[in-house]
Amino acid sequence: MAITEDRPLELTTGETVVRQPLGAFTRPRSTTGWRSWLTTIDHKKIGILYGGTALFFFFVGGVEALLIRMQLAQPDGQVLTAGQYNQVFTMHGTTMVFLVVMPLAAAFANYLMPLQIGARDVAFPRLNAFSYWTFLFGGIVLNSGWFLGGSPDNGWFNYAPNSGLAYSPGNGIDFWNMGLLIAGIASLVGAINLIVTALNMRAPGMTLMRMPVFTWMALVTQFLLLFAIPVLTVAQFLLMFERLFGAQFFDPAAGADPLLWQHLFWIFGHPEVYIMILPAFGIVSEIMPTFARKPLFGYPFMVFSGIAIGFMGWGVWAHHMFVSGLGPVSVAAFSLSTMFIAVPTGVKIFNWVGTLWGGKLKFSVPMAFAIALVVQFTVGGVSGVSHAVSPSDTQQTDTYYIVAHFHYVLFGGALFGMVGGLYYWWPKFFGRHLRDRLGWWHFWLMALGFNLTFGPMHIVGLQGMPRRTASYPEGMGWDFWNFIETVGAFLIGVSFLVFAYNIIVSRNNPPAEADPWDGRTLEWATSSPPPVHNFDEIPTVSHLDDWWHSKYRETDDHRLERVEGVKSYSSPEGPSEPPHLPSPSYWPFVLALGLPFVAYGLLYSYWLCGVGGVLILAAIYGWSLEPSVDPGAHAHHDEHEHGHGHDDHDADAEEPVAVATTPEETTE
Amino acid sequence: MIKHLRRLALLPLVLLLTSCAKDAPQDYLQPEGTYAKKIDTLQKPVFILAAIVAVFVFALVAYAMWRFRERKDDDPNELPAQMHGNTKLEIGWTILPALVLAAISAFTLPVVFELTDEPDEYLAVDVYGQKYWWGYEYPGEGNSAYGIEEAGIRTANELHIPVGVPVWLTLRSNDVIHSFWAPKLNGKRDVVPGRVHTWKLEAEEPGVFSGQCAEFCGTSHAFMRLKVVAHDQASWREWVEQMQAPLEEPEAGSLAAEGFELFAQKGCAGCHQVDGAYEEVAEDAPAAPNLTKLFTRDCFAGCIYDLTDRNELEAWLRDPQRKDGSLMVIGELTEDEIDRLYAYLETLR
Repeated sequence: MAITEDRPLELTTGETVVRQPLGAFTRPRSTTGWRSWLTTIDHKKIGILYGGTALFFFFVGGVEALLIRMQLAQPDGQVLTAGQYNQVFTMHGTTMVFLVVMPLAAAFANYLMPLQIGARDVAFPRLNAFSYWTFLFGGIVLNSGWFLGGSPDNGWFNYAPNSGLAYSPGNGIDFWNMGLLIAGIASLVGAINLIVTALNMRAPGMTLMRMPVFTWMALVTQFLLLFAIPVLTVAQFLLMFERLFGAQFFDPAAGADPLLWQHLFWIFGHPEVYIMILPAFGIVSEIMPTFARKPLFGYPFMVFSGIAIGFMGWGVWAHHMFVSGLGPVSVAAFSLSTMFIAVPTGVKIFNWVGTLWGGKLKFSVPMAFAIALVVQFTVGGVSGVSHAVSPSDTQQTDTYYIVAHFHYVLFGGALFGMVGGLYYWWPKFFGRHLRDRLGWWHFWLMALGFNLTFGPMHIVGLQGMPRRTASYPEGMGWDFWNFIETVGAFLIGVSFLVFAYNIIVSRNNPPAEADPWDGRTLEWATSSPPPVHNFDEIPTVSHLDDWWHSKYRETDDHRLERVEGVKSYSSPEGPSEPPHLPSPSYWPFVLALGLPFVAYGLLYSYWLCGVGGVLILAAIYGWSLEPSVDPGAHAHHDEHEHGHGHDDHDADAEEPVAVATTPEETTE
Repeated sequence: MIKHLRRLALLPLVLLLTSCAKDAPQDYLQPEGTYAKKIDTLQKPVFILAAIVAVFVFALVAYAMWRFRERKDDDPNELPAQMHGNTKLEIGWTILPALVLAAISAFTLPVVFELTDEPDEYLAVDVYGQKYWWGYEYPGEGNSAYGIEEAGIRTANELHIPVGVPVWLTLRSNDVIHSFWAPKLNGKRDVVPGRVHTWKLEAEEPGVFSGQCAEFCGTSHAFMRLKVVAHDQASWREWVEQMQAPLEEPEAGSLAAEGFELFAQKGCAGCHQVDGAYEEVAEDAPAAPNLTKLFTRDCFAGCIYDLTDRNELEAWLRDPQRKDGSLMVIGELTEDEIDRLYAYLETLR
């Protein structure tokens, strides 16, 4: 229900009567320029926003990593003071987990899920935009410490009671707390959105067991987020009340047990690592079949092992606490459960090998990254099994052996997988390929740099080098490998400079086809990039890998034959009837903007909270009251957003709105 | 591509081989204490098994990459058989790893309990962790078999133990979470404020074993180090005797006597106890090492400085904040005052 004027507006054509919403409730119309990005609710644009922002934060986290490595290149490093080092390593970890890997996964999930299930957008497009802006503001609040008197410096896990006011009197910890509370809202809301999308908006004929594996893994990830983020939120509220309002949740002097923080954090923290890896597993499960020219080996096992990981991931958290004083019974129980979570993960590794086996393997750049994930995740996986042996873990925990483990699974696994996904889907997202030769330079430098950095960490960790230490003395036997690790880290940096260069020069590449890799899933059944409405007609699905099945059929002698004349689901002419699409909105941005005001207000001045509160209230009203579809909007959609180079229409120009509102468009 | 990958696969092997370092005082792959050895008998076989599995996977991947690579003379229109899976195989590679893991668990569980079991006889030591040093108290009660008298012994930074005797540590924190770790003797155990944890050590040969705090505890976490000094029988008796021998009063009129006075005047006694001389500390004083037998030790300030080097102690007295976050905040001392204090501290043996 929008506020409208009663009298008709006069139009030059005089053709129809349009009731124009007033003022703040007018939906924005831009489809190009910075305003279109600010007000977009298109899942594809939001995916790109997530990806671009994540890559920016990757640069920030990467610089932090290089600072760490410079400090540790030699014994008794003097590059950073201990206080500075503690801020840098804290921000490195927090940034990479919350501002890089998670949003990169969100980028892929946002862009691909609707396409892969044959939908036009997610279930709640404005909520989707809100998620992105909230994530961005959370990242900004988290990083404001660099400019506002000191960043958080208590590790990404921020244990109590060192996180309390007594031992961390500045605002650093508060920036960690507020920034992540805000970013947590983004993840939670995004999870709800994507779950509803996957469960409700699949194309006709797409049963759950015909959903692409990436969509499946993304769906399991959203369920994990749905239940894990609130646990972190609770922990962070307890901490916030302790630091700001005098609560004593973690104060031993008041009778509290500091281990409460650890339990809450790791009940979130362990599912969190599966949140980070499952999307990359999904990506690899898409890339490998494409470049092996055969289906993913054991689709049902792959789906069910992903679900199993999702469930079992809740039962292992205290393996992060084996030396915290839990007592032998708890330690034994979690040791057992941790061992067994290796089973569904191992299944995936073997199924990927099975996908390669008997295939016709094309070693493209995306395929290289996918294979690297399989190899490197195996290393991280087996070292993980060694930590599951809790007596061994009493030696290994808090050493560089653990740092090696999680970098192998998160960087060697998740990040390699996601970079492979970028190379794979880049033509789909941007309509142009990334250059092959530069891609290979990127891959080899990254693989070499990565293994040189994190391989030796296994050794120094086993030689007793603890984590989170600002420097180490001479005479411990750690000097040589630390130096090598620093060299490796700079190689990684160089590899990403190559990547950045590739991105820049690839803007001049020729336009990409709709289906350049001969893919199997529906995103390849539409143009590159897809039109704003994704598909001219919603596909009807009759198989797993339905797009592949429409391109190939089995002959009498069981060979596959290419079907002639298969058309994609989008064409330059566009759909015969303009599809119903949601309109852009700026209220998601405004609502998200209120959050950092509240956060800073709690730290500096309650007036700021008031401003934030007003923004939030106004945005809620605006969001609820704006018309569901701008009456004039859909006339524009079939003129823009088809492939590249049609950016010469400015939708903000004074074009006559010649379409009458029809009754069904104003219903909620 | 495959050639390069094969070469890369050698890298972990190379790394493994070079890990047998000679001068790595915290290397727990070369354990020396009873419990560290027990852990190692579990750790090494699991490493070997893990390496076998990893190499097996690499071999499969490398082989598949070589055997099934697209060749130049392949018919581009010919597609490989579209295998969807093999249920028997998949069930197999679900069950087999589960069985292997079950076997590892069966070996693991008893060791979990062995590591936490209280021994029948032991030397009891109370360990206190605080920013950024370790304190130790040997209670008189229950420790008479090891020569400890009723008054007990208080020391810091270096934990002295007799060889061949289980040492039962009772671990407490005076501020935040720290973790006590002497890798060659045993794994680590956290000290958590408001909780009491127990852990044990046993050295099999005399020696000095390096360790450090292993749970991030603040600015100078990296500088909260420790040593465990294991003595043979004779040496242990000597150490206990020396630690329990009453202090000699500094000679009247000597530099040390003046230092003794300064120790109170300058407020050192407000935080640091010297048994038999300065027993009472200020109420709100942060925990500070007991200095009674300071010069029986050879490291200080969280075991990061060398007590046998006069310059280091003087530098510390000039500016204890040279260790970031140190809770020792004192006014400025003149060089004269430092000389006198040093002279007094040197008598604390």
